[in-house]
Amino acid sequence: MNTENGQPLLEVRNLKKHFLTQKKLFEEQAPPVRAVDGISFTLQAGETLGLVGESGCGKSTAARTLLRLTEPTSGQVNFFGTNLFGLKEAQMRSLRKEMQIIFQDPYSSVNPARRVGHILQEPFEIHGCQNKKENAEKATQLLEHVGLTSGHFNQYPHELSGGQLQRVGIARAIALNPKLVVADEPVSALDVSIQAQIINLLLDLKEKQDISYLFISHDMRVVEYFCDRVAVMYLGKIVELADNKQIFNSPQHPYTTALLNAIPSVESGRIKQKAFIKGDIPDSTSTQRGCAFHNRCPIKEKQCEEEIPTLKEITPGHHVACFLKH
Amino acid sequence: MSSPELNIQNLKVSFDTPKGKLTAVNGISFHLNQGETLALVGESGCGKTVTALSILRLLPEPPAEISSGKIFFSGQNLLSLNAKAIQDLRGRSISMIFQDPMTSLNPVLTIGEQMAETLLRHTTMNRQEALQKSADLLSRVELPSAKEKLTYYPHQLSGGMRQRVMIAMALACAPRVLIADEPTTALDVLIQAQILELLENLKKENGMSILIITHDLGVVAEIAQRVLVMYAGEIVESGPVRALLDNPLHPYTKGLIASVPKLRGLNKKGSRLEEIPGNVPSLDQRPSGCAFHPRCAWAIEKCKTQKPQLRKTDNQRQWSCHLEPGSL
Repeated sequence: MNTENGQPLLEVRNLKKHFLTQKKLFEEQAPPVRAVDGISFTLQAGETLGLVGESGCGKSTAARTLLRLTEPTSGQVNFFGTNLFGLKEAQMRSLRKEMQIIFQDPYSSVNPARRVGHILQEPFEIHGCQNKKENAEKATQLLEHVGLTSGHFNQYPHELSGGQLQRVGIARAIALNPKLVVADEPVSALDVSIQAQIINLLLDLKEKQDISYLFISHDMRVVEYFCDRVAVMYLGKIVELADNKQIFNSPQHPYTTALLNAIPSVESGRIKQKAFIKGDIPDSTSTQRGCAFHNRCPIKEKQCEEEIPTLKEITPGHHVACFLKH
Repeated sequence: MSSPELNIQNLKVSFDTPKGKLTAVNGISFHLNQGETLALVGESGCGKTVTALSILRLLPEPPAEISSGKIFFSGQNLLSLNAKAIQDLRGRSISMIFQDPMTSLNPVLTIGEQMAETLLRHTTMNRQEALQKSADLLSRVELPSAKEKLTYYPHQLSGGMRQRVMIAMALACAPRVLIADEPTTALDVLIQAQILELLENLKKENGMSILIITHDLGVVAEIAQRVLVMYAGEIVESGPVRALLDNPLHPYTKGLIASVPKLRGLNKKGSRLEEIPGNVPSLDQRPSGCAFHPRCAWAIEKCKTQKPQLRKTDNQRQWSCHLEPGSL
């Protein structure tokens, strides 16, 4: 498409999504949950960007908001230069062909009462192709494309295994040749031996169909294998954004370092690291001052408790939000 | 060496289902030594959890049926005990922690009430003492402001905190054996690292033995001394952890290890991940011969018809495969 003019495929600027909790009678309105609190990044065509962090850090909300599956609180998302939040619903619907999502749990993301074939024909019907025979043919092709057979066409979701059903979810996402696929923990619910199959499939599709992925995961091992660049999120903010190599070989933010050290490894000769990060992720309503990570940070200083660090580029392409690295 | 804490011989568990009688655990034998951490590894549906639940007789019978086998714990066969005797054992001598700390805590009781219950059942403590002991236990699992937490309900705690409560509860009567069924699977890596470290420290302090069930080989490498690999209701390989991970003898073990991406550039860039083709067979479609043969890259004609026998080496390793060692 129009990548020649150097326009990124996706440009997210200061995206925020706050949720208000229900106000109780006679009580003051509680502060909002700052699920996504001002994140910015770009995704070039053909690139795979990983979004990692612990549960509750806002990665899934960020994905849903930038696809406009929920309305943002503020910010801007440009898709090939078009501001998504300025579009009318009908315009948005036709643009959805270009941006699709794969969900974590394959069972709850398909209609259990529809046959696989029907699930795969639906994207074509919604986007204006009413020829039943043609749609069925395309659906069968899709099945083969993702490593299933035409025999699965008339089966119901409960007759498929988790890995097979995730292939259906992927087939549905790529049906209309999207430019962007958001994969929200696509392998987390699968068995280890099946995980590798699905990751290989996503890589093959990327090459064949020229898809760019926003890959959301909490598994750093999978992210290192799969992604070109990585953004690490903590409590609604991006704390580090860099190339795959930079993140995994020279992580700068203490949170990234902690995440990497905490991964148990199969290889021998690994020196066991003490879990030096204590405590849980605070909940995102907390109104604590300073860097969101300071109460768990092993290297914090006075400044960290008072001011909020911004994301700064410290070496080309390597952005970190930490005072000690600026 | 002293006799093993737990000795399981030829355990066979089946379930009555509309599809007929299905065998979930098909004659497995293993032992857990004193002070040892033993990992039981395998994918979903391979019978890990059923094995663990049968040790404490927590399976509903029927539909479940332990059709053969013996489970020895301090000289007695647990399978021949009556319900009362088993209840005396649960939580006192053998404890269990479950994968999902949300569904295994009672949502309408406070943490304190739930913890005191175990102590009141198994010791002569009164309520006040039991609550005091509960607070002590919570601070031992490094839960901040333990006393206050006793008045909390489960939903007021995060996943990591709930799992700590479960561990504290399981340790209340200083059991000799702890069975941990995927204790960290629902948790984030940072919390997982804390919980694993905690389990290790508690094991050292109490001198207990741990049977940990997991599908994460990284976790296994981190805390276990020995590993059992299960596939389709059978143990296909067992051995000391480093030997097994560095030099797997069974093709399934080798496949499992290879399908985990390696950290810090140890993957060949641009190459595909090694995958195990196909799916885990369902219980009613157990393949003939070696159950793994339809997914095995090395399968020979013999594998389709003949079930491999368990083979042994002198360095504590066992595996069941027709292939000669070194041919993988």
